[in-house]
This record gives sequence, C-alpha cells and structure tokens, in this order.
Amino acid sequence: MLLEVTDLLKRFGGLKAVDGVSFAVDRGEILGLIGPNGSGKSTVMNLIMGVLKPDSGSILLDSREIGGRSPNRIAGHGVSMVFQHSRPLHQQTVLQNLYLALLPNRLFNFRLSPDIDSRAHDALKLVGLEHFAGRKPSELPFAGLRRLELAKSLVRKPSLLLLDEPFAGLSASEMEEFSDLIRQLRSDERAIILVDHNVKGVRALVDRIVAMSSGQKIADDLPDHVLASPRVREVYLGRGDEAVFRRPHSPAPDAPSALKVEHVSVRYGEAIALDDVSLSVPRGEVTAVVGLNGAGKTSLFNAICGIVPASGTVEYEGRTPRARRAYEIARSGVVLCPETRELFTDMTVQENLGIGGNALAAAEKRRQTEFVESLFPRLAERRKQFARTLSGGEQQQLAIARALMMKPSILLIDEPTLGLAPIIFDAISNVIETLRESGELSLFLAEQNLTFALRHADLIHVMEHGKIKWSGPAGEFDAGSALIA
Amino acid sequence: MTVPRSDRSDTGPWPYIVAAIVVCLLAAVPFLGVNAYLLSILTLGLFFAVFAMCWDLLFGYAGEPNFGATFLIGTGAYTAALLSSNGLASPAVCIVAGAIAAVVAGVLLALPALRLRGPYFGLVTLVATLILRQVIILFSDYTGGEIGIAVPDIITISSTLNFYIALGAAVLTALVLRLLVNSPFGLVLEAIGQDPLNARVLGFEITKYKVSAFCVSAFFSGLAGALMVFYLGTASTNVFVDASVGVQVIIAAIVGGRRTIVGPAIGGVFLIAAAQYLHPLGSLSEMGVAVVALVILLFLPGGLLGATRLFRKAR
Amino acid sequence: MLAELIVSGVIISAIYALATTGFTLLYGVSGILNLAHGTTLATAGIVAWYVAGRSDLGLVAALAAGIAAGVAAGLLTFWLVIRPLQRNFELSESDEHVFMLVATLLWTIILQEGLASIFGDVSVSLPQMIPGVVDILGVRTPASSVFVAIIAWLVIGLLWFYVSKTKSGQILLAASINPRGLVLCGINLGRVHLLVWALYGALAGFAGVLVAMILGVSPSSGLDLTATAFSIVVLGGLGSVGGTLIAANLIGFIETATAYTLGPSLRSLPALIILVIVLYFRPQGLFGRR
Repeated sequence: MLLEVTDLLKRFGGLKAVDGVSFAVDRGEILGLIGPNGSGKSTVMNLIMGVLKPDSGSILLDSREIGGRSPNRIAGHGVSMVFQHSRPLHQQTVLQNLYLALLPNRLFNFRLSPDIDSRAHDALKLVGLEHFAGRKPSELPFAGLRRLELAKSLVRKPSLLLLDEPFAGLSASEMEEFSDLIRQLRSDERAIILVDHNVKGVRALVDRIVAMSSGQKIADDLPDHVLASPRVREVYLGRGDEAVFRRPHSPAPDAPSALKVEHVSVRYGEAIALDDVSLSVPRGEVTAVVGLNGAGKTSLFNAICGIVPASGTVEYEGRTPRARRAYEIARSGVVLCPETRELFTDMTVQENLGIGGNALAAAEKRRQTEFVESLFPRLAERRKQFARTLSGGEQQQLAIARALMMKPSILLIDEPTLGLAPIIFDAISNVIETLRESGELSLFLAEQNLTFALRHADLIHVMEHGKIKWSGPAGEFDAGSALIA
Repeated sequence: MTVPRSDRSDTGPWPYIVAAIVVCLLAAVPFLGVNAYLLSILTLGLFFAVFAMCWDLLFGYAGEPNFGATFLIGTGAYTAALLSSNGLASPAVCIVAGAIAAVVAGVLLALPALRLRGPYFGLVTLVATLILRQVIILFSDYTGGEIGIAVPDIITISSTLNFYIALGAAVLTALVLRLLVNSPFGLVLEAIGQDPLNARVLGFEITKYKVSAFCVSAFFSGLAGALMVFYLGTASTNVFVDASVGVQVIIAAIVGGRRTIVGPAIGGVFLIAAAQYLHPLGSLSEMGVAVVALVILLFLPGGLLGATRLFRKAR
Repeated sequence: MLAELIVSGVIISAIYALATTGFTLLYGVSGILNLAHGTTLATAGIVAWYVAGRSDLGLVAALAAGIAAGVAAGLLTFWLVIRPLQRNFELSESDEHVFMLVATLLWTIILQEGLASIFGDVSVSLPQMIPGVVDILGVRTPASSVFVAIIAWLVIGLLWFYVSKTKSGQILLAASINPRGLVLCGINLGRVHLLVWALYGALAGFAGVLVAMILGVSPSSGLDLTATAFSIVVLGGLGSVGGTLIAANLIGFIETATAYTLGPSLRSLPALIILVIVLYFRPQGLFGRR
C-alpha cells in the first residue's frame, strides 16, 4: 500500500473532528472521500498533508510514518495537495507560477535550471493551459485557475495527489471536462484521493469510496455499494419513514406568491454559486429548498436577502424594489435566519431578542417577546444567560426567536436542524407548525435533511450545482432519485 | 529551446533603459552647477531611498509589515558611531561593523515574524524601536542620550564625494534587491508572502527564506545608516531611532509604489525633496507633504510608479 | 513613598483608563486602530485651553469646546481618511491593514502641524479645576487631580450605563460582537459607524481635556499619547473594554513606579518590555479572546 491511515484522531477543543479513521490507498487507485459538511473529510486531508497535526494514530506513506511532520517535509516525500481556494502569484505569468512549483527548496538559488521551462510547458499542456503560458492568472477563467493549481501539483510528480473539492464552483460542463482530466491522471505511479460532499459527482470517476460522518468512517467500498448502503442513505437523506410525514396538501398553482425569484445568479469572483434560478414561495405556506451542501441553497437565501450581490430580480409581496440593501430588506419584513446563526454571543438571551425587536415600540416589543418566549420556553428560562453559554440547539432556537422578533412576513431559515439533537429537532418542528397555523407568515426553509423538509413543506425545490433541478408539491417528490442516484 | 527567464516585467527593456538614464543623470548632477545645499538634499534623499527599498523587500515581497525600519537603521548607525567615537576603528571598519550588527538585529526582528501574523508583527517591530530608543537613553553616558554622539572621523568633506557615496549605496541596493526579487529566491519569497501555507505545501521551508529576507534588508539598512552617520557627523535618536522616521520610510515606499523596489527609491528621494521644497512654509511644510502622501495613499494605492502604469494602460 | 506612588498611580491610571476606552471601543466596533488617537486627545486639550483663556464661562465652556473639537476630529478622520480607504477595493486585506495604520499616521502629522501653525508649537496646561490640596494617606495631593480622577471614572461608568442600558448602546455593543448579525436585524451599519466615530470623538475630547489638566499637552505630544494608549489596549486585548481598564491601571502603576525608582525619562521602558513579551507569547493580549 502507498498510504495507510490507522486510527487517526484529531480533536478541536471538545469536538472529535476525526475519530479513529482507518483506510488505505494504493498506487493506480482513485479514492473518493465523501461526507456531508462537518464530517471530517477535509480534516483528514489536512492531517495527511501535515497542515494539521494528528492527536493520535498513524499515517504511513510507503511504510514510513509521516503523521505530524511539517507540510514541506511531507511534500518532499511525494505528497501534493490542490486546495479548493488557491492564491496564485498575481504579478507573475501562469508559466512563472509553474516555475515556482518546480523550484528546489534551496536558499542560494539564483538561476533556473535549464529543463525547468520544458517541464513547465509539458504540465501546462497536460492540463490544457498551454495557450495561457504568458498570461497573468487574473486573466484565467475560474476553471482555469483550478487547472493551474493542478498543474502546480503535477509538476512535482507526486506519488499521492490530494484534491480538495475539485469541482466546487464549476459549472456542469466544466465539471465534466475536469473529471476527464483527472481520469487521465490515473497512473501506476500514483494514487489520487479526492474529497467531495457530492456522491453523484464522483461515482463515475473513483474506484472506491470512503464515506464519513461525524468524524467516523461509515463505509469503504465500491461506489455502487456505498450508495446502496443504508447508513450512507441515512446520513444523506435523514432517518425515518418519509411517507408518514409527507403532507397531503398541495398548494393551489395560482396561489399568490410572497416571494418571486426570477433569473437570479450569484458569482463569487469567477465561481458560479447560483445559476439562473427562478422559483416562487407561496404566501402563508411552508416552502423548502433541498439539496446537498454546496448546491447553492445558502447563496440563494443570501441573494434574496441582499447579503451578496446578485443579478436577476426578486419580487417581495408583489413589489420589485430597486437597489435595496440588506438591512432595508430585513426591515421590510423579509428576514433571514442563517445557518451560521450570527448571534451576539457576549450578550444575554434577552438582549439578543431586544436587538431583534429594535424597531418595535416598547409595548409591542413586550408583546412580541412574550409571544416568542411562549414558542421557546427554554429561552424564557435562560433569559439572563449569555448566548455563548447556550447549547447548540438553544442557540438555534435563539436565532429563530431573534428573527421572529422582527415580525417578519417572510421568514427564511437556512438549515434549521443541522447538527441538532432529536429533542431540539422536535421543538423546532413544533414551532414551525405553530407558525404555519398562525397563517401570518410565509416560511422558506433550506434543508439537507429530507425528513425534516418533507414533514413541513407544501412545496419543494431541489437544487443541485446552483440550479433548480426539480420543483413541485411535496406529495409528488421522490427522494432517492432526486438526491443520490 | 528558449532560455527560461524569471524576469517578470513584460514591458520589455524600457524600464532598464530609463533606470540607466536616470542613474547617469544623477551621476552628472554635481557637474551641472547645482549648489551644495541641493546636493546635500539629494544625498539625504538617496540614503532614504535605500531605507525605503529595504522596507519594500520585507513588506512588498515577504508580506511582513515592518514598522521598525529604524530598529535596523539605528543599530547600524549607532554601532558605527560608538566604534568610531571611542577610537576603536577606522570609518571603513565601522561601516562594515554597522552593517553586520544590523544583520544581527534583523535576525532578532525575524523571530517574532515567524510566530505572529501581520498586524501583530507590525506592533512588535514598532515597540522594538521604542525599546531601542529607551535603551540608548538609559546608557546616555556612552550614547549621548537624546543629544547623540559625534563621530570624530569623516570619510570626506567633499559634498560631491558624499553624494557619490550615497548614489553608490542606492544603486548597489537597487541592483542587488532587483536581482534578488527577480531570482527564484524572490519568486519563493513572494509566494510565502502571499500564501504561506500553499508555499509550504509546495515544499518550501519558509523560515529560512524569511530570515534571509530580513538579513538582506537589515544589511543594506545598516550599511546606509552607518554611511549616513559619517556624512552627518553625528548619530542621534531623532534621526536614526525614531518611530516617526520608520513611518516616513513606509510612507516613502507606499507613495513611490510598493512591490517594485524602484518605486520606493523614487518615493524616498521625493519625500525628502518635497519636504525641503516646502520648507519656506514653516510648520505647514510637513503638513503639505503629509497631505500629498495621504492623497496618493487613498487614491493611488499603486503609488507614483503605479500611476505611470495606469497612464500607459490608458494610452 | 509607597503612599505617594499609590496616589499618583491611581490618578494617572484613571486618566489612562478614560483616554483608552474610546480607542478600544472604536476598534471593537469598526476594527480600526486609529493611530491619530493621541493627536485627537491633544486637539481637544489645546482647543479647550484656547477657549478657557478667552471665555468668561471658564472650564465648562472649555470642556464643551474640547468635546466638540474631539467629535469634529473624529468625524473628519472617518470622512476624510477611513471611508475613502475602505471604498478602495483594489487593496487586499493585509494591504488594507497597513494602509489604514499609515493613513492614520499621516493624518496625525496633518492634525499636529495644523495645530502647531494655529496655536503654536508649545505645551499647554489647563488651569486647576478646583483650588486647594487634600491629604490622602498622608500625601498632599491637589484637590483638582483627585476630582479629575473621580470624573474620569464617572464618565466610564456613564459609558457602561449607555452600552448596557440604552437601545443605541446595545446596538453598538452588538456591532462589536457580530456586525453581520446586526444587518440581519435590519440595522444600517453605516449609521452605526457614524455613531461610534462621534461617540469616540466625544470620549477622546473629554479625555483630552482631562489630560491637558493633569499632564499638559502639545501638538507633538500626540504620538507619545498614542503609543501609551496603544500599549494599554494591546496589553488588555484589542477590543476588550474590561481588559483595557485593567491594563490601564497596570501600565499606570508600572510607569509611576518606574518614574519614582529609575527616573522619569525611563517611565515607559518596563511597560514596553512587558508589552513585547505579552505580544510574543499571547498576541491576543492578557484578556483578549481570539
């Protein structure tokens, strides 16, 4: 075996990010390392590369222990990593960026070796950038930058190539091309490990998949077997029998919409996060957008709430405002409760709610606080506690409660149940049902957890790679085919 | 097969021709009948140019904001002055000793750079200067405290020769630093400054590159500091070990155009000359220079050299 | 001598504490280290001195003028220096940090030379607030100094009340913890920044007048004041008001003790050495969280 990882353990504070993971890869193999967000897969990559030091366990490369060494020494042993976010040298040309990767780690080195040029050109040709040799990296398209980073790794002739989410931010066609490129890199000389949270994206490319969840390995098998594994399906789709919760009710097709999104796209630099999305959220109902991590759900919510610049139009309650800023949108009643929660951690629960209700008059604020506290009795008990001392579930409740203090007409909740215990899960479920029955607001949820989404949503939108892939009433939704296969 | 060039300027030979013409013109200045006063300003400006270029190597390439340029300059200057005033060595030896002492100071300054991130490192360098100043005052029996020490020896009394010494130091520094940043070493240094983690993953041991950059920067800073002591005849804290002088160095580098080596040299001469030109305005002169520098900083972040580039693009 | 040391340590520490709360508040909310801080204090002190000498209303008018000068200096810093720099998108993040520090230093020079040309480059002192001396622990202390120390702590208490009990104070506190969360709550961050610069100016103005009473100020004393404020804030942990108050007392006492034992010219040396050691081993400061 080229690489043997045994009982790898890494803690961040109290959290075991990687908890006793073992696997092996041999030359000639392409291994996919998959798992949802926070499963520890990127941490495993960083441990192999030496960016992080393991707390215990061993990492053997060609039977030599490399765990805990510095990245430059591990690089010297023939491991190379392509980061998801790269920062090439902007003042230099693409070719000079490759020279950098070819330089020896020697201080007194004032002359380039004569074969460096041909080696750099060969690598550029391999990744299809030969016509960009004399250009600056800033002139490359986003996918081109990723190719440049790949070329920088390849010129070092690594025996182990690590690719961290190689497809993130690429369009569908770019993904296809990049997959083909990686396929060409398969060789008897080297092993490739690629990390992705999308099972579908890698199944055709890899020989074997190691799946992770909550820091542990949950599967290690051929791609089709991993996809069929009940454990993996549970992690990706949520537990329980969906049909029980599925709502019989379908919204009328001509129901008035609280929110109408038309041709909205979001780009981060050159990376496409949201690609021409159109959808609507019917008034007084619960709508859910489902999809894997990285599908573009958060970007969609941020675009609706004016937090990231976006092209296209968003209509709120029938009005299309021009050039509104995030705080104005929030003030007008379109309120976002983000996945990151964004609480005021060094303030008390009460103070957090107070800031949420900052626009309300004193009497109204009191009434709204009472209403919110009746929804979340846990928060009422912890009124004087600092937000940072709350448990994860209580913080999530506080985030929703703070958003409700703004008396929203449309409430967007991004990943309301991510990483929460079942009991909190139920509490949030009850609140969502109470809010639906009040009929006063329209709810828009983004969820990875299908069970939760199906339990509440009247209308479902499925997202993948920044696009809406399927839209329809919850009753017509087929989970397995939409998300995994 | 083409010979690989690591030279990153894609503008052809013109910058070098222009630079050569400028150096020739400067060399001809003493023969153009300028008075001694103007020559002395240019001399100071050229020393300042060296300081600014050395700062640029650290910030522009290695990404380390050094607010304590005078920690290095001052170490060089005071070492030379102390040796000379105690009659321990000839000027030439004093100058070499000053440069070497500055390199030691550079290694000392590099230690926190290996541990701390940008702004925190900046703070440490600033405080290092303040401490050096206090130490000089503490040992005022030897150092003359805030008044400073006079050096008995001088290299020459000829203002023309002094001008050529400063010009030589500036040209030498510019040449060495330009060669360095255009060499593979410079490429690695820049990569470390931009993304240290990525540089390590490409196999570079970043400590030795950083420490070397500090040593080079310190060597030329100390050299110029020591030369300037013999030109001025005294070493005092207000000239050599002062946080605000360190800030002037940064201003010169940014005004000239960081990450170019040549830009900071222009900025250094410009700053000294502008201050002298506006001198008749009294206390408003420094204000005028500061306003000009602030406007350049706010609206031309590429500095004067960056502005010429914009102009070329516009055409 | 110990009693003397304690009394003057308490007085100096009170002034240091007030003079740095604004600096640390500003950093907490806007993330900006205003290196023109000392010169803002000096501006307020000098304007107050000028008004005190030319007005019949005496110290009250001087204090009002000092605070107004502080607010004006703060807002001008924001409009002329900080905002243009923040709107420059060509700069990378690390470049912006260094540019911000250099820009506020240039602004220091501009303010300093402006003051020197208007009011002259001399050191000025405001007259004593109340006459007489009091006896504390057997040390004869000017009553005015004691009064100034009490006022300084009162203003800090008032600031605490403002931040923890009023709506706009709570919003400022929230902005220092999580500005993104504030936007989600429908609050215009631009106005929060304007508010914090105005409040900063008022605090610096008040402190500047008190500094001018006890220590005296000159246009060129700004940088030294900045250096002291800086050491205190970094030692306490950037953005932590509680840490700043503790560090202000620490530095105040160390400086006083040094001045008494080693001589006044070295008063800042031990504090600086402690600062370097702290920065090296605990860059977030003694009480800062990362």
